[in-house]
Amino acid sequence: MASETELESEMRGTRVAVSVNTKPVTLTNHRVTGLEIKQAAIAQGVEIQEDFLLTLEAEPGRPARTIGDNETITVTKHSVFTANDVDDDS
Amino acid sequence: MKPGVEFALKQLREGLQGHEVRIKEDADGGVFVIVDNVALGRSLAPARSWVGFQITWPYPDADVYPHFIGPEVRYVGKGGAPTIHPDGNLPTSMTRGATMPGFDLPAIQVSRRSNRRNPDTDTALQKLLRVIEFLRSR
Amino acid sequence: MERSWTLTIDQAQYETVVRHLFPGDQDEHGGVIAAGIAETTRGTRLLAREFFPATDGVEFVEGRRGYRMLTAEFVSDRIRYCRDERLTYLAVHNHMGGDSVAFSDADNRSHERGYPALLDISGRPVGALVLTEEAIAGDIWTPDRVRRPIGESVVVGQNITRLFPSPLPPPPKADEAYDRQARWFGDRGQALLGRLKVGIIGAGGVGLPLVTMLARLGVGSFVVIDPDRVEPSNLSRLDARRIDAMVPLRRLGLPGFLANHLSVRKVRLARRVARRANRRVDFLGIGKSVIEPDAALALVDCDFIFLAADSHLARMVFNAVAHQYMIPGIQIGTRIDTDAETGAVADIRSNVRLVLPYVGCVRCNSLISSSKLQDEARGRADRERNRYVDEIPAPSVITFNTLSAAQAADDFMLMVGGLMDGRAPIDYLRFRPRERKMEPIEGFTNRPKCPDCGSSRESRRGRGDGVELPLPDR
Repeated sequence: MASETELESEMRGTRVAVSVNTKPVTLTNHRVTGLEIKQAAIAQGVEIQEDFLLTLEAEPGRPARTIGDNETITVTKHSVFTANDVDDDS
Repeated sequence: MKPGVEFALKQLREGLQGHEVRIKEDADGGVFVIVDNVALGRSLAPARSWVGFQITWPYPDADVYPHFIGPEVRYVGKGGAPTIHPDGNLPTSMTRGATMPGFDLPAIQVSRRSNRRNPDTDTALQKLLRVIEFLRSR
Repeated sequence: MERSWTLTIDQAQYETVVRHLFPGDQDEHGGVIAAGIAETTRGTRLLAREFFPATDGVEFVEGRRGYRMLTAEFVSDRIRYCRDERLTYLAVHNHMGGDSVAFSDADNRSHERGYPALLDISGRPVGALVLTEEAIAGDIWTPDRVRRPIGESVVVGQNITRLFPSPLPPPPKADEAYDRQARWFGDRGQALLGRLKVGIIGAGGVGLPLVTMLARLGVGSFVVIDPDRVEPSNLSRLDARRIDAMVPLRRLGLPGFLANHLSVRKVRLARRVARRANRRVDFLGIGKSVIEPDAALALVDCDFIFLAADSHLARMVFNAVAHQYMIPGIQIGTRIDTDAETGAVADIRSNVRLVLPYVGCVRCNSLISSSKLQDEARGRADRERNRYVDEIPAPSVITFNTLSAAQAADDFMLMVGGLMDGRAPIDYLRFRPRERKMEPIEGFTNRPKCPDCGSSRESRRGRGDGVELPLPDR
């Protein structure tokens, strides 16, 4: 079986469609940062801002977790994200 | 069929493997059920009969009773049977001349109302197993 | 015409929210309410099912663009919970102030910035509430990006309190027909009665006098549900004419089955007494059992529901509607026990039970029998064929029925008018006419795991249109 690094290099450069706030967002790379995911979503019409909190939804065997702007993760077509703001009051 | 009734049927079929379970849906989302070839124990003859009942639409809030068995069943155990009948004596809580609804079959009615029933645990399957145990212990 | 949005919250939940928002420090606090939704002909109702307080300094912190904020992590957890539970996310915070409240510019800018994302995540309406101790305002966003205010917030307790963003204008002077009661009830109370819609399950010995009293009080709108027709045996306790029960024609030899078929429906009788009391009353009579889906669903936009019918299926449906749609109600019953052998009267008691979202649950008080549900659901033909012995009709007397109906009407009037003494027992009232006694009886506490009133995820409490009512398939 190929190691993760070899798989990653095979997948580099392949487009993958993920979901952000239930909207489809196409990424140009399987290895992306949190900020790059949000920037792609904004460019493709999802109503968020770059400073929103990005959360990767739970999958079997792994709970939901937040993704930092500078954190690089591997995404697949099954990756589901939510992005939300704080709720400011005055 | 109401989701609660469907789930009860699923539990029945899983719990009664080896027995045929026939159903007819009623008009309200409940179901009439007949389980074939149930062993009745040594005090009743013939040794096996069908057992039928209705799971109504308010289940699991509604109890499941009465139950029905084939009209040919009679008491053959030691000692007297309280219910004397020309077609064959019967133990208490069993009455001749009934009709299994849904299937319109002549039947003997077995009336076992549950006291202090807990809808979370007193399922149609558990009730049936208790009725069968009651029949086998006459 | 655009229909209004309202919020309903029960008294216990409201007190929890208020204690969190107003601990006495003159500062702001926040949280999230997860609410069910009920779409009705009278508007859209948000039903406050759960409250998640945000811990100060951890989940409610110094704001980025405002004074304070709910953290993004807190918002994320709540919006995903609301999405998974099919509930509406309502952010809650407080302002200092009196009888008026409104969102600030910073509040609104925050909603505009963040709520489109929350709409996309949940696929359902989202919004915000802002409270003072005497006022509530709301900003509701629907998936089509339209914003609507909340017009009225109803706190359902032993008193039913209505809160608004700002004080209402003075009410019109009450019609002179209500002059004597408006003197103590107030023009505002009288105007409120005229706007209320009341559901009554059962139009017999208890339900019919209840219709009469409520119509004469000035209740504006009724839904009355009863499948039966008037019978000769009813005439000793119903405001009906002999011809309603076909008595003269029965005496002339009209066959019984035909006379029964021609007798007046009880809901039609109820309409007659209601219209006689108030010509302008809006009256819907449904001549079916309350378990029929169109009958049960006619209750979901009522402001109050009375259960004046005895069947256990009716109790089950009433309790489900009351808790699923957070509608306050009263269950009324009279029981006359007679000795089976001698026929002597053993006991007479009438009960009047408040059913509120947090107390008085009919199921938790063991008033729904699983055996009786099965008996009633099996159907008359099967029971008769299998020689099931029908219960002998229970004794019923006009004076006992009217006594309990009057107590129920009193309770309703005082509750909606906000006039119930806060120290009054919330237990159910039991009348024992033979002993000339009326006493409160403590009921059972609502159980957290109750499928109707409980706080577990499986309960139907406050879910509105989000789950099915327990009704037969049709």
